[in-house]
Amino acid sequence: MKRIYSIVLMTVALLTAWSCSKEFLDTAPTSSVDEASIFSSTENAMMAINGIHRMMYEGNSSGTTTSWNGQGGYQTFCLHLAFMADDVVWTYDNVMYKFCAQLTHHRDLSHKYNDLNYYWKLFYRVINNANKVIEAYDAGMPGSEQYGYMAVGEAYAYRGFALFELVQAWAKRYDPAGNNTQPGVILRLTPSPDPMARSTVEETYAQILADLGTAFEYLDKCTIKKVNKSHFDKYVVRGIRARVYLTMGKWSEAAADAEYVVKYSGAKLQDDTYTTVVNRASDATNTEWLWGLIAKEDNSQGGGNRSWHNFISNNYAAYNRNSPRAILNLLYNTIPESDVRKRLWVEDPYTAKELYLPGSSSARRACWMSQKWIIDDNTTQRYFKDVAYMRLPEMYLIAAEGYARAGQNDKAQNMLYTIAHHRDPKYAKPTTSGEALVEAVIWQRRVELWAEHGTRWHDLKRLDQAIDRGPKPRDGYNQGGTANGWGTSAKVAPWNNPKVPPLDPLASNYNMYGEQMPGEKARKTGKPSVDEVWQWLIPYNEIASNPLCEQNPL
Amino acid sequence: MDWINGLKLRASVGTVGSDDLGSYFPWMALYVINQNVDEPGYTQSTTSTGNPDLQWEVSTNWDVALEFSLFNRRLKGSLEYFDRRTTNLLMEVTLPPSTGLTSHNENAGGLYNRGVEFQLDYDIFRSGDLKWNVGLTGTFLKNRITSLPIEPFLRSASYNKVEEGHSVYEWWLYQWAGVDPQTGLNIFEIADEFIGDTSKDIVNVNGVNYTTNMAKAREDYSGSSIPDLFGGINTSLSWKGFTLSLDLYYQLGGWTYDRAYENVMIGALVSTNSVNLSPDLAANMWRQPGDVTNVPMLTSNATYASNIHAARSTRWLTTTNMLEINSLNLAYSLPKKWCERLKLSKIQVYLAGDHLYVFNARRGLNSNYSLSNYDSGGDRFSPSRTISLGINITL
Repeated sequence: MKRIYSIVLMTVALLTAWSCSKEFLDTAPTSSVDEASIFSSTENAMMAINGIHRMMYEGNSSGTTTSWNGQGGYQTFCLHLAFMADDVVWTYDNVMYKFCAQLTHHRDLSHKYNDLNYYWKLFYRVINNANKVIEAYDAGMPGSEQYGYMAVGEAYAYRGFALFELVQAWAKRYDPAGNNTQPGVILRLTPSPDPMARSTVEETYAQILADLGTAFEYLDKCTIKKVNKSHFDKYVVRGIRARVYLTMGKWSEAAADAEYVVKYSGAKLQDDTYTTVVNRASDATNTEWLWGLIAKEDNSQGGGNRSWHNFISNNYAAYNRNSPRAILNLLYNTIPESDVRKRLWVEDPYTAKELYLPGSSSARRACWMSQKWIIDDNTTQRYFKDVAYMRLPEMYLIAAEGYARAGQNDKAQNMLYTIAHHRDPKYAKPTTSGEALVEAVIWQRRVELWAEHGTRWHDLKRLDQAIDRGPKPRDGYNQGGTANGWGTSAKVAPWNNPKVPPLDPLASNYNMYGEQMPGEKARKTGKPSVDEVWQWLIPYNEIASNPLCEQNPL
Repeated sequence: MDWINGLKLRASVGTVGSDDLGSYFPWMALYVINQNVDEPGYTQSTTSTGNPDLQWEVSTNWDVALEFSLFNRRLKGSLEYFDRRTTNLLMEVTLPPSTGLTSHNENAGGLYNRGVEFQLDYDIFRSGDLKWNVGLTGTFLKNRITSLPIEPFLRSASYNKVEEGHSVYEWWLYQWAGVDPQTGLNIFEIADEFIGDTSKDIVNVNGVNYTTNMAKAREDYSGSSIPDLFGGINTSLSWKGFTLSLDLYYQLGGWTYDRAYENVMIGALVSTNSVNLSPDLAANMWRQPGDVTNVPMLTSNATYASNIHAARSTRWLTTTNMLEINSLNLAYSLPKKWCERLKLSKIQVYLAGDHLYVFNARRGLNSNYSLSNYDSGGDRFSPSRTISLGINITL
C-alpha cells in the first residue's frame, strides 16, 4: 500500500513539474516585433519612420533572371528614369537598364518581377507604412510630444513624396492650363486591403499639397535636430513642394518655396563639390546636400549589387566596368571649358591624363564617359555610398525658373547667377528674360543635375517636350558600331582612328557605341501630352487583384 | 462461392486540424527589422498583416473500401473511395500591390479532395520453381474549391487563380496560339475586351484574328498541375535462386509550367553572354516568312522582348504524362548448400538500377507532380540514375 502511495505521489509530482504554464504558450516572435510594440510610444514610432528611410534603398532579392535592372528602391527608380531620358547615354552591351534606354520596360506587363510591379509597390509600401504611423498617432500615443511631431510629420512627408513620384510616372502629365480629370493614382490614405479606383490627377495633386502642408506644420513645431540627412525636416518638405509646384506650373509658389530653402535651410554651396576625388558626389557631409541616402560605413545595408553607384559610378568595380555611362555629346559640347563641371565627363578617355576607372583589367572606356561619381574604393563590388535625393543647387534653379516664368527677372537672374557663377567663374551675370532666361536655367538643370533623381525625364514630361537624343549621322559619315571604331576594345577615340570614316559633327553619340544595342526606335518620342510612352503601365498584379483600377491605354 | 476467399468492407471517418501557413504567428501584425544607418528601424511585414480571428483549418476525412481476395488467393486487391473535405480553409489571400502588402492570412471557404484508389495484385505462377507476380496501383484525384466567400484571386506567383468551382492547382495563363508564319512573332488569343480592336498588334493568321501584344491576350484556366491518375506497376519474377523485379511509376493528365525550358529558350533576350541555350532554338526557330514552326524568331530588339518571351503563357505549359522505370533489380541467391559450407545463412548477389529511364515530354524535366512546388519547374530536374552491384551476406 505504501508503495502505491509513493507511486501516486511521484506521478503527481512529475505531472506538476512537466505541465506547461500559460506564459510558456504565450510566445512572442523573436525575429520581428508586433505592431502594438512599435506604436507603444512616440519614441518607438520613430522606428517605423526609420524603417521607411531604409525601405527607400532596400535591395529586392526576389528579382533574378527576369529582372533586367537593379531593384534597389528609390535610387534605382531614379536610374530607370535617367536611362529613359536623353542626357544619359547607354554605351556597350550589358543587359542592365538596356530596356529602360529602349523605352520598353516600363510598358511591359508580362513579368512578375518587372519594374512596374516593383516600383509601384515600393511607393505604396512607403504610403502604407506612413499611413500606419498617421493612424496610430491620431489614435493617441504616449510619449514625448516632440517625437510625435517628428514621426507624424515625416510620415505625411513620405506620403506626399510617394504620391508625387507615382503620379508623375503613372499618370498623364499635369496640364497647368487646367482640366486635369485624367486618371491619377490610387489615393490610399488609410491602411485597407480593399479594391480602390484611381483618383484624378487634380485630386492626386491636391492630396500631395495637403500632405506636404501637414508635414510642414508638424515639422515646424518639432525642435529636435535630425540625426542625419536621410530624415525630412521642414526645409526638405518645402523643397519637395517646390518640385510639385514647378510640375503644376505654379511658378511663384515654386520659386517662393525654393527660395525659402535657399535662405533658411543652412545648406551652402561648397567650393570643392566637383573637384574632390574622394567620394565625389557621394558624400552626404557636403554642405549642399539636403536629403539623401546615408550609407552605413561597413556596407552592411547596401542591398547587394543593387545600389546607385553600382550602375552609375564609372569607377565602380561591378557592372559599369563593362558599360560605362556617358553624357549626350551635344549637351557636353555646350559646356564651356571654364565650367568646373566640364571635367565631370571625359570626351577622349584614351588620351585623358586624369581618368578614374574601376580597379579591374577588364575596365572599359567609352567616349564622353562620366566621372561624376567617384568612390574611394574601386576594387570592391557590393560597395555602397551616400546618394543625394535633394541638393541646394536644384533649389536655386527652381527659384530661378519660377521667378523667370513669373516675370520677376531680377530675382530669377540673381538665383541663376549665384549657382552658375559658383560653377563657372567666367559666367556673366544674365541679362535676358522670358524664354531665353528659362532656357538658361533648364540648361543648368541638365548639367548640374545630370542623371540625378529622374530630373531630366520629369522635366521633359512637365514641359511637354519629346525625348530627342539628337540626329543620327548623315550619309558618308561614321555610322557608329564596333566596325567603325566604337567597340569595347578600341584603343583610340573614333575621331583619332584613321581607318574609320570621320564623325558627323552634327550627330549625337546615341546608338553609336559597340553593337548599337539601344536601337534607332527609341531615338525620338512624341510629346508627353500625346505619346502614351510617357505613362508607365499599371502592373499586372494590381489590375488582376483590384477590379476597380483602370489601366492606362496600352 | 468458393472462388471468394476473403471479402472485407471497411470505412473510417476522422477530423484533423491544420495551421499550415508557414509561420508561427500567422494571426499577428508584425514589423520586421529594417535598420537605417545606426537607428533602429522596422517596416510592416507584407505578409503578416494581422488577423486575430484566424482559426484552425478543419479537414474531415472519410473513406469506404472494399478489400478482396479471390481465386484461391491468387488475386488480391482493394478499391477505396475517399473524400477529404476542408472547411475554414487557411489561405494567403493576395492583395493588390497598392495596399503596400503582398497577402494576408484568412480562413476563406472550403474545398474537397476526393477520388478512388485501387490496388491489384495477381500471382500468375506461384508454385514450383517459377513464381511470377504483377501488381497495379492507381489513384484518381479531384480537387475543387466548393466555396470562396471572397473575390477570386491570383496566387502571389500569379500562375494560378483561386476561384470557386475550380481546382487550387489549376493554371491561369495567357492563351498562346503558336507563331505567325509571316512575322515570326508569337500569337495569342485575343482577350474579350480587345475583340474588334484594329490596331497593328492584331494579326490575321489563316482567317483567325490573334494578337501579338501580350497585354491584349486572353487569360484562361489551362489545366491542372496534379494529374488525373497516378500510380505504380510492379512485377517480380523468380526462378530457383534468381529474382527479377521491376517497378514503374505512371502519371496521366497533369501539366507543368516548365520554367527551366523557358529560361534556355529566351536566353538571348536576357543577355548576349553566359546563358545556356536550348538546341531547339537553332533547330526550329522562325527564320523567314513562310516558316511554319512553334519557335518564334531570335531577336534582341526590345520591342519584341515580351512577345518572344511569352512569359506566363501556355507556350511553356508542358504535359506531365510520364512513365518512369523506377527500379529494376536482378538478384541471385546462392544455393543453401554453398552457404552452409561457408557457415553463412544467406548470400545474395544483385544488380540494381534506380530511376533508369523516364518516358516524358521533355528530357531533363521533372514531371513528378508536387503539391507544394507546383507553380514553377525552375530548379527541379529529373532525379539522377543510379546503378549498383552488390552482395548481401547474412551471418
